[in-house]
Amino acid sequence: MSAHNEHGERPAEVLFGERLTRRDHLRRSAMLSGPGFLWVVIFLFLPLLFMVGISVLSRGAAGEISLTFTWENFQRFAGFGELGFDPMYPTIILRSLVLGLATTAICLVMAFPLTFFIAGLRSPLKNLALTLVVIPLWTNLLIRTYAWQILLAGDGWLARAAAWVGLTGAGEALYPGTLAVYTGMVCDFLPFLVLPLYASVEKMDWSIVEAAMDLGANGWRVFQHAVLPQVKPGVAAGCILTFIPAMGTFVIPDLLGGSKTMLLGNAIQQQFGPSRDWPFGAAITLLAVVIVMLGLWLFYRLDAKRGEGMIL
Amino acid sequence: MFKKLWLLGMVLGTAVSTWAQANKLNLYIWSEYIDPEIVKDFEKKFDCKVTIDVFEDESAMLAKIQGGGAGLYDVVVPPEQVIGTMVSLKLLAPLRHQNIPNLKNLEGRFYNPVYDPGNRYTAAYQWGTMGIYVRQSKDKPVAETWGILFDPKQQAGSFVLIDSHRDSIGAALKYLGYSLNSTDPKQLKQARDLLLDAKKRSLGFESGVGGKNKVLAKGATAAIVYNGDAARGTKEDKDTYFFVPKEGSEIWVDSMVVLAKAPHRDLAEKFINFILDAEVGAKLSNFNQYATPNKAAKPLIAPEDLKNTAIYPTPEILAKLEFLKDPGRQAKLYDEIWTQVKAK
Repeated sequence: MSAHNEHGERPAEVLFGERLTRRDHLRRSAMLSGPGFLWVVIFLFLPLLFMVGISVLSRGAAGEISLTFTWENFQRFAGFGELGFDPMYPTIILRSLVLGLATTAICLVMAFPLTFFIAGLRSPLKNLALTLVVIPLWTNLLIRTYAWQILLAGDGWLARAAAWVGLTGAGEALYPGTLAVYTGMVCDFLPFLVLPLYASVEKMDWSIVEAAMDLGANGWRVFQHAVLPQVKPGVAAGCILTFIPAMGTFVIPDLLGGSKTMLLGNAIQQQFGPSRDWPFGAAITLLAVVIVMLGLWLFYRLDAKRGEGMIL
Repeated sequence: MFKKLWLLGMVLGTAVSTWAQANKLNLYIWSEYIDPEIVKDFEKKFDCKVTIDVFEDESAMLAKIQGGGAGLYDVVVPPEQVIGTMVSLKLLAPLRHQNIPNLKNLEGRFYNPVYDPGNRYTAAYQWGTMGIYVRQSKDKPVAETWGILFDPKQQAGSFVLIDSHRDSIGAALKYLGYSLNSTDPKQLKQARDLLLDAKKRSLGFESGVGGKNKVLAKGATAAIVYNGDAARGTKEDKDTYFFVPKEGSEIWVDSMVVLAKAPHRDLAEKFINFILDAEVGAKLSNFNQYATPNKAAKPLIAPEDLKNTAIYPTPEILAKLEFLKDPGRQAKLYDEIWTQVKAK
């Protein structure tokens, strides 16, 4: 066959299970990926562009967006406010990062034994166990958090048990407080780590583990060299799925922590809500997105350097 | 293909325009704030359909109207502190007084008010105060001061603060003897330090209703709340009551306004006139336990409500109440103070 057919087109290749010319291929691809692409452009990329634009504008006296260019929002974020220097926004970001990381770490430690336990069950029990993990997600997050308020209330059985052991005074509620916040957070985000991790554990090749044990590796080395590399994609996916929403959450810290601290989510909500300062809100959001992206990029770079590529 | 689309467009266009012409009133109001019977009576009298949407806080309401909802509603019931903002954003239509003869029923304080001289845009709907809702202890009476929250020596048991920046900062400013609307950085810093200290001793911040529920459930002894919520709480539990602290506090008025892009301006004004009627006004206040700004309605209000100082404060207290004003460019100052209170 010559390099060009009679229409002057390039030779057809087998794509989508058919012999297609380049042009047909392009049309097919556009039809298949077009809707998703358009969706992302219209509902994600364009709004993000708007946000970047708004973040360098200023708030008018009536809370409207005024078309005056300024870097002030970023200076304010860095801590140069009306009342002098106070790095409260970096503190808020740091606090949110810590909350997100700690939640992810606790969930990870809890998810490992749980997923291996589930993977080791016989098949009808296995499905039952997985369903039990997912069931809490069928209830709205707010309702679950309010349920914790009732469980942790002064006359609840948990508080009474804690008082009986002598941890707290009689009739004292177990919330608001840090422990209550972490209880709620872990309870809420655990399924997001368990499910991807389970998917990895399920398809693990146990003969590698056996080989490692046959070759005399101790428990830790078996885990490090035979188990971890195999479940790494699940760990990575689960950690990202947990960390990003955990860092942005504010409902749980508000309801179980008594709204005593400000987190990233509250700070953004305050600007778009009561303070009606959209430009500043956009600046905080933009910087939060940049920080998370930088974190993921760093994660990816470190991982690539170690030579064991992850799924990112 | 295009012909079909064009036809479809025509049909939709006609449908939308008839829908807009139909006798319909779209009301945007705080939740549980109107007696459903009043709505039914209005629908019957003017042969129309009333659709109600509700909001829980005024910033969400404002965001919705600013963000493209200006043509969705006819009558909105915002608090006085956002009226100035709504006027300067050109969101409101002036009231045509000849269509609202019942405006004369408004009491002196609410006729020609500071936030809307000459009632150009607003007609008062209900009013109230902010104060402390507290569970009475058997041995000693509670001192009626903000000090039970802000002064560790006077603290009367556990308490919750209110999760709203203007209300919380306002309470602290009042305790210090300043105006609720102070924009003096020194005074605001003092209020911030007071709130930071109170926050550490408190059970945290809650909405007004949340605070009331916490006192009712014995989870806290005192909470900052709005008087109508407290009046309903006292009905449930006689050991709890509401007071306006002696240092003074906030008075608020929710007003009826017509949006500039209201699809049914005539009906909107008929609705406002209907609410301002003496009998309807009394029915409204008897329903929601807030005070009426309608002097013609007062004789028809339940006598026990009229005597209740939680709903109708005494003249001495009234003299110490202040309206919140929009801080305009100084909003950043309040925002910064609040972020510091929350973030530390």
